[in-house]
Amino acid sequence: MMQKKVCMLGTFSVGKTSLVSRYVRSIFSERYLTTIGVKIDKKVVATARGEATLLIWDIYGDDEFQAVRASFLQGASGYFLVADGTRRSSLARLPALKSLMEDTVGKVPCRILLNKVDLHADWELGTVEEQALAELGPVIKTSAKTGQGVEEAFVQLTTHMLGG
Amino acid sequence: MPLSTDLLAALDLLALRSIESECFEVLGTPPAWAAPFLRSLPDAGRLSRAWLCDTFPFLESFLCDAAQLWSGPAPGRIESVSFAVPWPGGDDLLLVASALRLPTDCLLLIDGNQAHLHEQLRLLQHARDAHLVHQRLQRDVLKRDILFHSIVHDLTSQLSAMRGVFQLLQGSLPTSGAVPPELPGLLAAGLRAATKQEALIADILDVFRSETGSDGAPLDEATSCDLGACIDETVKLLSPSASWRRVTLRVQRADTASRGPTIRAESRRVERVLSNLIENALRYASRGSEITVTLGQRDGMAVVFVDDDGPGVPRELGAQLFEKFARARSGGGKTGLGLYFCRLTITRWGGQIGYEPRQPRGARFWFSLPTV
Repeated sequence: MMQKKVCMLGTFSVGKTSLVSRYVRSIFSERYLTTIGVKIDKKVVATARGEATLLIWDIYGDDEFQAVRASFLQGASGYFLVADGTRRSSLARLPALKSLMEDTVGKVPCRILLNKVDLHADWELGTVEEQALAELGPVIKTSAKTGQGVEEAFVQLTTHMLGG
Repeated sequence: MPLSTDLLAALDLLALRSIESECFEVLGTPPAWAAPFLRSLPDAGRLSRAWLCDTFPFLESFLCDAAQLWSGPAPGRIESVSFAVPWPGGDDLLLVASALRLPTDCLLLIDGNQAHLHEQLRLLQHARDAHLVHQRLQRDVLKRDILFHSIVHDLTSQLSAMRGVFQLLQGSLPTSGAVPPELPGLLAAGLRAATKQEALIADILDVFRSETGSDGAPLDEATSCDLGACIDETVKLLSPSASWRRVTLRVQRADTASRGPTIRAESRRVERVLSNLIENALRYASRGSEITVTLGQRDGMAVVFVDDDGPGVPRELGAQLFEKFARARSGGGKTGLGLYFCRLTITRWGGQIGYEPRQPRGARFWFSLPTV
Protein backbone atom coordinates (compact mmCIF):
# COMPACT_ATOMS: atom_id res chain seq x y z
CA MET A 1 0.00 0.00 0.00
CA MET A 2 1.16 3.49 -0.77
CA GLN A 3 2.68 5.41 2.17
CA LYS A 4 2.29 9.17 2.39
CA LYS A 5 4.02 11.44 4.86
CA VAL A 6 1.80 14.19 6.23
CA CYS A 7 3.06 17.00 8.52
CA MET A 8 1.02 18.79 11.17
CA LEU A 9 2.28 22.38 11.45
CA GLY A 10 1.26 25.33 13.56
CA THR A 11 2.18 27.21 16.70
CA PHE A 12 1.85 25.66 20.16
CA SER A 13 -1.46 24.72 21.75
CA VAL A 14 -3.54 24.92 18.58
CA GLY A 15 -4.49 21.25 18.92
CA LYS A 16 -2.22 19.41 16.46
CA THR A 17 -1.64 16.47 18.80
CA SER A 18 -5.32 16.40 19.79
CA LEU A 19 -6.38 16.28 16.14
CA VAL A 20 -4.06 13.33 15.52
CA SER A 21 -5.27 11.58 18.70
CA ARG A 22 -8.87 12.11 17.67
CA TYR A 23 -8.24 10.79 14.17
CA VAL A 24 -5.90 7.88 14.95
CA ARG A 25 -7.13 6.76 18.38
CA SER A 26 -10.57 8.42 18.66
CA ILE A 27 -9.63 9.99 21.98
CA PHE A 28 -9.55 13.55 23.26
CA SER A 29 -8.17 15.07 26.45
CA GLU A 30 -9.02 18.56 27.72
CA ARG A 31 -5.58 18.86 29.29
CA TYR A 32 -2.98 20.68 27.24
CA LEU A 33 0.23 18.64 27.03
CA THR A 34 2.93 20.25 24.98
CA THR A 35 4.80 18.28 22.34
CA ILE A 36 8.54 18.55 22.83
CA GLY A 37 9.69 16.90 19.62
CA VAL A 38 8.15 14.82 16.91
CA LYS A 39 5.72 11.96 17.17
CA ILE A 40 4.80 9.82 14.23
CA ASP A 41 1.55 7.91 13.92
CA LYS A 42 0.31 5.61 11.20
CA LYS A 43 -3.22 5.30 9.91
CA VAL A 44 -4.72 3.64 6.85
CA VAL A 45 -7.13 5.95 5.05
CA ALA A 46 -9.70 4.81 2.53
CA THR A 47 -10.71 7.35 -0.08
CA ALA A 48 -12.65 7.28 -3.33
CA ARG A 49 -9.28 7.14 -5.06
CA GLY A 50 -7.98 4.17 -3.09
CA GLU A 51 -6.24 3.50 0.19
CA ALA A 52 -3.04 4.92 1.59
CA THR A 53 -1.08 4.57 4.80
CA LEU A 54 -0.54 7.97 6.30
CA LEU A 55 2.62 8.60 8.30
CA ILE A 56 1.40 11.54 10.34
CA TRP A 57 4.26 13.67 11.66
CA ASP A 58 2.99 15.58 14.65
CA ILE A 59 5.66 18.27 14.93
CA TYR A 60 6.14 20.42 18.03
CA GLY A 61 4.58 23.87 18.06
CA ASP A 62 6.62 26.44 16.21
CA ASP A 63 7.37 29.38 18.50
CA GLU A 64 10.19 31.27 20.17
CA PHE A 65 11.21 28.16 22.14
CA GLN A 66 11.44 25.73 19.21
CA ALA A 67 11.55 26.52 15.49
CA VAL A 68 10.51 23.86 12.99
CA ARG A 69 13.46 22.50 11.02
CA ALA A 70 13.24 22.04 7.28
CA SER A 71 14.68 18.52 7.54
CA PHE A 72 11.47 17.30 9.26
CA LEU A 73 9.46 18.26 6.23
CA GLN A 74 11.52 16.40 3.65
CA GLY A 75 9.57 13.71 1.86
CA ALA A 76 6.17 15.09 2.85
CA SER A 77 3.37 14.53 0.38
CA GLY A 78 0.97 16.89 2.12
CA TYR A 79 0.50 18.97 5.24
CA PHE A 80 -1.95 20.65 7.55
CA LEU A 81 -1.51 24.18 8.84
CA VAL A 82 -3.40 24.31 12.12
CA ALA A 83 -4.80 27.48 13.72
CA ASP A 84 -6.75 27.98 16.93
CA GLY A 85 -9.90 30.04 16.37
CA THR A 86 -9.84 31.23 19.97
CA ARG A 87 -6.36 32.76 19.63
CA ARG A 88 -5.84 35.30 16.88
CA SER A 89 -2.10 35.14 17.54
CA SER A 90 -2.01 31.52 16.36
CA LEU A 91 -2.38 32.70 12.76
CA ALA A 92 0.78 34.76 12.73
CA ARG A 93 3.31 32.01 11.96
CA LEU A 94 1.26 30.16 9.34
CA PRO A 95 2.44 32.07 6.24
CA ALA A 96 6.09 31.49 7.26
CA LEU A 97 5.43 27.77 7.84
CA LYS A 98 3.78 27.50 4.44
CA SER A 99 6.81 29.16 2.84
CA LEU A 100 9.18 26.81 4.69
CA MET A 101 7.17 23.85 3.46
CA GLU A 102 7.13 25.06 -0.14
CA ASP A 103 10.84 25.86 -0.06
CA THR A 104 11.57 22.34 1.23
CA VAL A 105 9.24 20.08 -0.75
CA GLY A 106 7.59 22.38 -3.29
CA LYS A 107 3.85 22.85 -3.67
CA VAL A 108 2.15 19.80 -2.19
CA PRO A 109 -1.49 19.40 -1.08
CA CYS A 110 -2.37 21.43 1.98
CA ARG A 111 -5.41 22.05 4.17
CA ILE A 112 -5.85 24.77 6.76
CA LEU A 113 -7.47 23.45 9.92
CA LEU A 114 -9.28 26.09 11.94
CA ASN A 115 -9.52 24.16 15.17
CA LYS A 116 -11.52 24.47 18.42
CA VAL A 117 -14.69 25.36 16.52
CA ASP A 118 -16.68 24.02 19.48
CA LEU A 119 -15.53 26.99 21.61
CA HIS A 120 -18.01 29.52 20.20
CA ALA A 121 -17.95 31.81 23.23
CA ASP A 122 -14.18 32.34 23.00
CA TRP A 123 -13.98 32.64 19.21
CA GLU A 124 -11.63 35.47 18.30
CA LEU A 125 -11.51 35.40 14.54
CA GLY A 126 -13.58 37.69 12.38
CA THR A 127 -14.29 37.61 8.66
CA VAL A 128 -11.03 39.40 7.85
CA GLU A 129 -8.89 36.78 9.61
CA GLU A 130 -10.84 33.89 8.12
CA GLN A 131 -10.41 35.40 4.65
CA ALA A 132 -6.67 35.75 5.27
CA LEU A 133 -6.55 32.06 6.22
CA ALA A 134 -8.41 31.09 3.07
CA GLU A 135 -5.63 32.70 1.03
CA LEU A 136 -3.23 30.06 2.40
CA GLY A 137 -5.37 27.12 1.26
CA PRO A 138 -8.76 25.43 1.63
CA VAL A 139 -10.00 25.90 5.19
CA ILE A 140 -11.76 23.20 7.20
CA LYS A 141 -13.24 24.04 10.59
CA THR A 142 -12.44 21.29 13.06
CA SER A 143 -12.92 20.30 16.64
CA ALA A 144 -10.65 17.67 18.09
CA LYS A 145 -13.06 17.59 21.02
CA THR A 146 -16.24 16.74 19.12
CA GLY A 147 -14.56 15.27 16.06
CA GLN A 148 -16.18 17.80 13.75
CA GLY A 149 -14.35 18.06 10.43
CA VAL A 150 -11.44 15.82 11.52
CA GLU A 151 -12.15 12.72 9.42
CA GLU A 152 -13.17 14.95 6.52
CA ALA A 153 -9.86 16.84 6.72
CA PHE A 154 -7.68 13.72 6.54
CA VAL A 155 -9.77 12.14 3.80
CA GLN A 156 -9.75 15.35 1.75
CA LEU A 157 -5.99 15.74 2.03
CA THR A 158 -5.35 12.07 1.23
CA THR A 159 -7.67 12.21 -1.78
CA HIS A 160 -5.79 15.28 -2.98
CA MET A 161 -2.42 13.53 -2.43
CA LEU A 162 -3.65 10.54 -4.42
CA GLY A 163 -4.36 12.84 -7.31
CA GLY A 164 -8.01 13.66 -6.65
CA MET B 1 42.04 -0.27 31.25
CA PRO B 2 39.10 -0.61 28.80
CA LEU B 3 35.87 1.08 29.76
CA SER B 4 33.16 -1.14 31.11
CA THR B 5 30.79 -2.39 28.39
CA ASP B 6 28.00 -1.46 30.79
CA LEU B 7 28.90 2.24 30.79
CA LEU B 8 26.71 3.13 27.80
CA ALA B 9 23.78 1.17 29.26
CA ALA B 10 24.21 3.00 32.54
CA LEU B 11 23.97 6.29 30.63
CA ASP B 12 20.81 5.06 28.83
CA LEU B 13 22.64 5.34 25.51
CA LEU B 14 22.12 2.94 22.65
CA ALA B 15 25.40 3.29 20.73
CA LEU B 16 25.58 2.09 17.16
CA ARG B 17 28.63 2.08 14.92
CA SER B 18 28.13 2.43 11.20
CA ILE B 19 30.07 -0.57 9.86
CA GLU B 20 29.09 -0.57 6.24
CA SER B 21 26.50 1.00 4.02
CA GLU B 22 23.06 0.72 5.62
CA CYS B 23 24.31 -1.43 8.49
CA PHE B 24 25.15 -0.77 12.16
CA GLU B 25 26.55 -2.78 15.05
CA VAL B 26 25.59 -2.32 18.69
CA LEU B 27 28.42 -1.18 20.95
CA GLY B 28 28.55 -2.45 24.50
CA THR B 29 25.51 -3.57 26.44
CA PRO B 30 22.25 -2.01 25.18
CA PRO B 31 20.30 0.02 27.77
CA ALA B 32 17.18 -1.44 29.32
CA TRP B 33 14.81 0.82 27.36
CA ALA B 34 16.14 -0.65 24.07
CA ALA B 35 15.59 -4.28 25.02
CA PRO B 36 11.94 -4.59 23.81
CA PHE B 37 12.91 -3.13 20.43
CA LEU B 38 16.06 -5.24 19.95
CA ARG B 39 14.23 -8.41 20.88
CA SER B 40 12.74 -8.57 17.38
CA LEU B 41 16.17 -8.58 15.72
CA PRO B 42 17.47 -11.83 14.23
CA ASP B 43 21.01 -10.80 15.18
CA ALA B 44 20.96 -8.61 18.30
CA GLY B 45 24.43 -7.31 17.56
CA ARG B 46 23.73 -5.95 14.06
CA LEU B 47 20.90 -3.93 12.66
CA SER B 48 20.02 -2.44 9.31
CA ARG B 49 19.03 1.10 8.46
CA ALA B 50 15.67 -0.25 7.23
CA TRP B 51 15.01 -1.83 10.65
CA LEU B 52 16.03 1.36 12.43
CA CYS B 53 13.73 3.53 10.32
CA ASP B 54 10.87 1.10 10.69
CA THR B 55 11.27 0.97 14.48
CA PHE B 56 12.04 4.68 14.90
CA PRO B 57 10.45 6.36 11.85
CA PHE B 58 11.78 9.76 12.90
CA LEU B 59 15.32 8.55 12.10
CA GLU B 60 14.45 8.44 8.41
CA SER B 61 15.01 12.20 8.18
CA PHE B 62 17.78 12.37 10.80
CA LEU B 63 19.89 9.71 9.08
CA CYS B 64 19.95 11.86 5.92
CA ASP B 65 21.63 14.64 7.93
CA ALA B 66 23.86 12.07 9.67
CA ALA B 67 24.98 10.58 6.34
CA GLN B 68 26.21 14.02 5.27
CA LEU B 69 28.21 14.39 8.48
CA TRP B 70 29.69 10.88 8.22
CA SER B 71 30.74 11.31 4.61
CA GLY B 72 32.46 14.61 5.38
CA PRO B 73 36.15 14.99 6.16
CA ALA B 74 35.90 16.63 9.57
CA PRO B 75 34.94 15.25 12.97
CA GLY B 76 31.71 16.67 14.32
CA ARG B 77 28.40 16.03 16.01
CA ILE B 78 24.76 16.76 15.25
CA GLU B 79 21.77 16.17 17.48
CA SER B 80 18.12 15.63 16.67
CA VAL B 81 15.16 17.09 18.51
CA SER B 82 13.49 14.61 20.77
CA PHE B 83 11.05 12.16 19.26
CA ALA B 84 8.43 9.95 20.79
CA VAL B 85 7.94 6.26 20.09
CA PRO B 86 5.21 4.02 21.52
CA TRP B 87 6.44 2.10 24.53
CA PRO B 88 4.87 -1.33 25.10
CA GLY B 89 2.23 -0.99 27.78
CA GLY B 90 3.02 2.56 28.85
CA ASP B 91 3.54 6.19 27.94
CA ASP B 92 5.49 7.18 24.88
CA LEU B 93 9.24 6.87 25.18
CA LEU B 94 11.16 10.09 24.48
CA LEU B 95 14.44 9.69 22.63
CA VAL B 96 17.10 11.96 21.16
CA ALA B 97 19.53 10.88 18.47
CA SER B 98 23.06 12.15 17.90
CA ALA B 99 25.40 11.44 15.03
CA LEU B 100 29.14 11.59 15.70
CA ARG B 101 31.95 11.67 13.22
CA LEU B 102 35.13 10.61 15.02
CA PRO B 103 38.54 10.25 13.35
CA THR B 104 38.08 6.48 13.23
CA ASP B 105 34.35 5.85 13.61
CA CYS B 106 30.91 7.02 12.59
CA LEU B 107 28.51 6.62 15.50
CA LEU B 108 24.78 6.93 16.02
CA LEU B 109 23.79 7.43 19.67
CA ILE B 110 20.18 7.18 20.82
CA ASP B 111 19.68 8.73 24.24
CA GLY B 112 16.80 7.33 26.28
CA ASN B 113 17.45 9.13 29.55
CA GLN B 114 13.82 9.70 30.49
CA ALA B 115 14.56 11.81 33.57
CA HIS B 116 16.56 14.28 31.52
CA LEU B 117 14.11 14.43 28.62
CA HIS B 118 11.05 14.69 30.84
CA GLU B 119 12.71 17.56 32.70
CA GLN B 120 13.09 19.38 29.38
CA LEU B 121 9.46 18.59 28.60
CA ARG B 122 8.38 19.88 32.00
CA LEU B 123 10.22 23.17 31.50
CA LEU B 124 8.75 23.63 28.04
CA GLN B 125 5.27 22.82 29.32
CA HIS B 126 5.75 25.36 32.10
CA ALA B 127 6.89 28.07 29.67
CA ARG B 128 4.00 27.44 27.31
CA ASP B 129 1.42 27.27 30.08
CA ALA B 130 2.72 30.64 31.29
CA HIS B 131 2.51 31.98 27.75
CA LEU B 132 -1.11 30.85 27.46
CA VAL B 133 -2.00 32.38 30.82
CA HIS B 134 -0.35 35.62 29.72
CA GLN B 135 -2.35 35.67 26.48
CA ARG B 136 -5.57 34.92 28.37
CA LEU B 137 -4.89 37.72 30.85
CA GLN B 138 -4.16 40.13 28.02
CA ARG B 139 -7.51 39.26 26.47
CA ASP B 140 -9.30 39.71 29.81
CA VAL B 141 -7.62 43.06 30.39
CA LEU B 142 -8.63 44.20 26.92
CA LYS B 143 -12.24 43.15 27.51
CA ARG B 144 -12.30 45.09 30.79
CA ASP B 145 -10.68 48.08 29.10
CA ILE B 146 -13.35 48.07 26.43
CA LEU B 147 -16.08 47.95 29.05
CA PHE B 148 -14.47 50.73 31.08
CA HIS B 149 -13.99 52.96 28.06
CA SER B 150 -17.53 52.33 26.88
CA ILE B 151 -18.75 53.62 30.25
CA VAL B 152 -16.41 56.61 30.03
CA HIS B 153 -17.66 57.30 26.53
CA ASP B 154 -21.27 57.19 27.71
CA LEU B 155 -20.49 59.84 30.32
CA THR B 156 -19.74 62.33 27.54
CA SER B 157 -23.35 62.82 26.51
CA GLN B 158 -24.44 63.74 30.05
CA LEU B 159 -21.50 66.12 30.38
CA SER B 160 -22.32 67.76 27.06
CA ALA B 161 -25.86 68.24 28.27
CA MET B 162 -24.63 69.81 31.53
CA ARG B 163 -22.28 72.11 29.65
CA GLY B 164 -25.11 73.14 27.34
CA VAL B 165 -27.31 73.96 30.33
CA PHE B 166 -24.57 76.08 31.91
CA GLN B 167 -24.07 77.93 28.62
CA LEU B 168 -27.81 78.54 28.26
CA LEU B 169 -28.06 79.81 31.82
CA GLN B 170 -25.06 82.07 31.28
CA GLY B 171 -26.60 83.48 28.13
CA SER B 172 -30.02 84.04 29.71
CA LEU B 173 -28.86 85.88 32.82
CA PRO B 174 -30.47 89.31 32.96
CA THR B 175 -27.92 92.08 32.70
CA SER B 176 -29.55 93.86 35.59
CA GLY B 177 -32.09 93.04 38.21
CA ALA B 178 -32.39 90.52 40.94
CA VAL B 179 -29.50 88.17 40.17
CA PRO B 180 -27.58 86.92 43.16
CA PRO B 181 -24.10 88.41 42.78
CA GLU B 182 -22.33 85.06 43.10
CA LEU B 183 -24.43 83.38 40.34
CA PRO B 184 -22.37 84.41 37.25
CA GLY B 185 -19.19 83.18 38.95
CA LEU B 186 -20.80 79.88 39.92
CA LEU B 187 -22.08 79.31 36.39
CA ALA B 188 -18.64 80.07 34.94
CA ALA B 189 -17.05 77.63 37.41
CA GLY B 190 -19.57 74.92 36.49
CA LEU B 191 -18.95 75.50 32.80
CA ARG B 192 -15.18 75.31 33.28
CA ALA B 193 -15.45 72.06 35.26
CA ALA B 194 -17.68 70.44 32.63
CA THR B 195 -15.34 71.56 29.84
CA LYS B 196 -12.29 70.20 31.66
CA GLN B 197 -14.07 66.93 32.33
CA GLU B 198 -14.96 66.61 28.65
CA ALA B 199 -11.33 67.24 27.70
CA LEU B 200 -10.18 64.56 30.17
CA ILE B 201 -12.64 62.06 28.72
CA ALA B 202 -11.43 62.91 25.21
CA ASP B 203 -7.84 62.25 26.37
CA ILE B 204 -8.77 58.92 27.97
CA LEU B 205 -10.56 57.76 24.84
CA ASP B 206 -7.76 58.99 22.55
CA VAL B 207 -5.17 57.10 24.56
CA PHE B 208 -7.27 53.95 24.63
CA ARG B 209 -7.76 54.08 20.86
CA SER B 210 -4.03 54.62 20.31
CA GLU B 211 -3.01 51.83 22.70
CA THR B 212 -5.35 49.30 21.17
CA GLY B 213 -4.76 50.45 17.59
CA SER B 214 -8.49 51.06 17.18
CA ASP B 215 -8.04 54.66 16.08
CA GLY B 216 -8.93 54.00 12.49
CA ALA B 217 -7.32 52.20 9.63
CA PRO B 218 -3.53 52.13 9.43
CA LEU B 219 -2.02 55.00 7.49
CA ASP B 220 -1.73 54.29 3.82
CA GLU B 221 0.21 56.07 1.10
CA ALA B 222 -2.68 58.43 0.49
CA THR B 223 -2.96 59.75 4.06
CA SER B 224 -1.07 62.99 4.38
CA CYS B 225 -1.56 66.53 5.60
CA ASP B 226 0.01 69.97 5.58
CA LEU B 227 1.86 70.41 8.87
CA GLY B 228 1.97 74.21 8.51
CA ALA B 229 -1.79 74.32 8.03
CA CYS B 230 -2.27 72.13 11.14
CA ILE B 231 -0.19 74.59 13.19
CA ASP B 232 -2.14 77.61 11.88
CA GLU B 233 -5.45 75.93 12.61
CA THR B 234 -4.45 74.94 16.16
CA VAL B 235 -3.01 78.34 17.00
CA LYS B 236 -6.18 80.00 15.70
CA LEU B 237 -8.28 77.74 17.90
CA LEU B 238 -6.21 78.42 21.03
CA SER B 239 -5.72 82.15 20.51
CA PRO B 240 -8.77 83.19 22.60
CA SER B 241 -7.51 81.09 25.49
CA ALA B 242 -4.03 82.65 25.11
CA SER B 243 -5.46 86.17 25.03
CA TRP B 244 -7.41 85.50 28.19
CA ARG B 245 -4.14 84.52 29.88
CA ARG B 246 -2.36 87.57 28.37
CA VAL B 247 0.03 85.30 26.45
CA THR B 248 0.98 85.83 22.81
CA LEU B 249 1.03 82.83 20.47
CA ARG B 250 3.51 83.28 17.66
CA VAL B 251 4.20 80.99 14.72
CA GLN B 252 7.51 81.14 12.96
CA ARG B 253 8.78 79.15 10.03
CA ALA B 254 12.39 78.33 9.36
CA ASP B 255 11.84 78.82 5.63
CA THR B 256 9.85 81.31 3.58
CA ALA B 257 7.36 78.81 2.16
CA SER B 258 3.78 79.64 2.93
CA ARG B 259 2.61 76.01 2.94
CA GLY B 260 3.79 72.59 4.00
CA PRO B 261 5.70 70.55 4.63
CA THR B 262 3.46 67.62 3.80
CA ILE B 263 3.67 64.79 6.30
CA ARG B 264 2.19 61.29 6.32
CA ALA B 265 -0.25 61.72 9.17
CA GLU B 266 -3.86 62.53 9.91
CA SER B 267 -4.47 66.26 10.34
CA ARG B 268 -7.09 65.76 13.08
CA ARG B 269 -4.62 63.86 15.26
CA VAL B 270 -1.66 66.14 14.48
CA GLU B 271 -3.82 69.03 15.68
CA ARG B 272 -4.60 67.10 18.90
CA VAL B 273 -0.86 66.68 19.49
CA LEU B 274 -0.16 70.36 18.81
CA SER B 275 -3.07 71.35 20.97
CA ASN B 276 -1.75 69.25 23.87
CA LEU B 277 1.73 70.81 23.63
CA ILE B 278 0.49 74.41 23.28
CA GLU B 279 -2.09 74.04 26.06
CA ASN B 280 0.70 72.71 28.33
CA ALA B 281 2.80 75.74 27.48
CA LEU B 282 -0.14 78.06 28.15
CA ARG B 283 -0.63 76.48 31.55
CA TYR B 284 2.89 77.40 32.66
CA ALA B 285 3.78 80.53 30.63
CA SER B 286 3.94 83.76 32.62
CA ARG B 287 1.46 86.57 31.94
CA GLY B 288 2.62 88.89 29.21
CA SER B 289 5.05 86.32 27.79
CA GLU B 290 5.19 84.70 24.37
CA ILE B 291 4.85 81.08 23.26
CA THR B 292 6.59 80.36 20.01
CA VAL B 293 5.66 77.52 17.69
CA THR B 294 8.50 77.01 15.24
CA LEU B 295 8.30 74.84 12.15
CA GLY B 296 11.54 73.66 10.61
CA GLN B 297 13.52 70.72 9.25
CA ARG B 298 15.99 68.45 11.03
CA ASP B 299 17.72 65.34 9.64
CA GLY B 300 15.31 65.23 6.71
CA MET B 301 12.25 65.32 8.98
CA ALA B 302 9.75 68.07 9.62
CA VAL B 303 10.19 69.30 13.16
CA VAL B 304 7.99 71.46 15.38
CA PHE B 305 9.22 73.26 18.52
CA VAL B 306 6.90 74.69 21.15
CA ASP B 307 8.82 77.07 23.41
CA ASP B 308 7.58 78.82 26.54
CA ASP B 309 9.16 80.75 29.39
CA GLY B 310 7.56 78.77 32.21
CA PRO B 311 9.41 76.97 35.02
CA GLY B 312 10.26 73.96 32.81
CA VAL B 313 9.96 70.31 33.74
CA PRO B 314 11.42 69.07 37.06
CA ARG B 315 14.57 67.14 36.18
CA GLU B 316 13.48 63.97 37.97
CA LEU B 317 10.32 63.81 35.87
CA GLY B 318 12.28 63.95 32.64
CA ALA B 319 12.69 60.24 31.94
CA GLN B 320 9.01 59.46 32.44
CA LEU B 321 7.60 62.64 31.03
CA PHE B 322 5.83 60.89 28.19
CA GLU B 323 4.39 58.09 30.33
CA LYS B 324 0.81 58.22 31.56
CA PHE B 325 0.20 59.81 34.94
CA ALA B 326 3.93 60.26 35.62
CA ARG B 327 4.72 62.01 38.89
CA ALA B 328 7.96 63.49 40.26
CA ARG B 329 9.01 61.89 43.54
CA SER B 330 9.30 65.31 45.15
CA GLY B 331 5.69 65.98 44.21
CA GLY B 332 6.90 68.93 42.18
CA GLY B 333 5.31 67.85 38.91
CA LYS B 334 2.92 65.39 37.34
CA THR B 335 1.51 64.57 33.96
CA GLY B 336 -1.83 63.24 32.84
CA LEU B 337 -2.56 61.51 29.58
CA GLY B 338 -1.82 64.29 27.10
CA LEU B 339 1.92 63.78 26.60
CA TYR B 340 1.48 60.02 26.64
CA PHE B 341 -1.07 60.33 23.86
CA CYS B 342 1.35 62.58 21.93
CA ARG B 343 4.14 60.00 22.18
CA LEU B 344 1.90 57.11 21.09
CA THR B 345 0.65 59.10 18.12
CA ILE B 346 3.97 60.50 16.92
CA THR B 347 6.00 57.30 17.31
CA ARG B 348 3.28 55.30 15.57
CA TRP B 349 3.83 57.46 12.50
CA GLY B 350 7.60 56.92 12.58
CA GLY B 351 8.40 60.19 14.33
CA GLN B 352 10.04 61.22 17.57
CA ILE B 353 9.01 63.46 20.42
CA GLY B 354 11.09 65.05 23.15
CA TYR B 355 11.69 67.75 25.70
CA GLU B 356 14.67 69.96 26.43
CA PRO B 357 15.01 72.73 29.01
CA ARG B 358 15.61 76.28 27.78
CA GLN B 359 18.12 78.70 29.23
CA PRO B 360 17.80 80.70 31.40
CA ARG B 361 14.30 79.30 31.94
CA GLY B 362 11.48 77.75 30.00
CA ALA B 363 10.55 74.54 28.30
CA ARG B 364 10.93 73.33 24.75
CA PHE B 365 8.78 70.44 23.55
CA TRP B 366 9.39 69.19 20.06
CA PHE B 367 8.32 66.45 17.69
CA SER B 368 9.51 65.37 14.29
CA LEU B 369 7.71 63.46 11.54
CA PRO B 370 8.82 62.09 8.17
CA THR B 371 7.86 64.27 5.25
CA VAL B 372 6.24 62.91 2.10
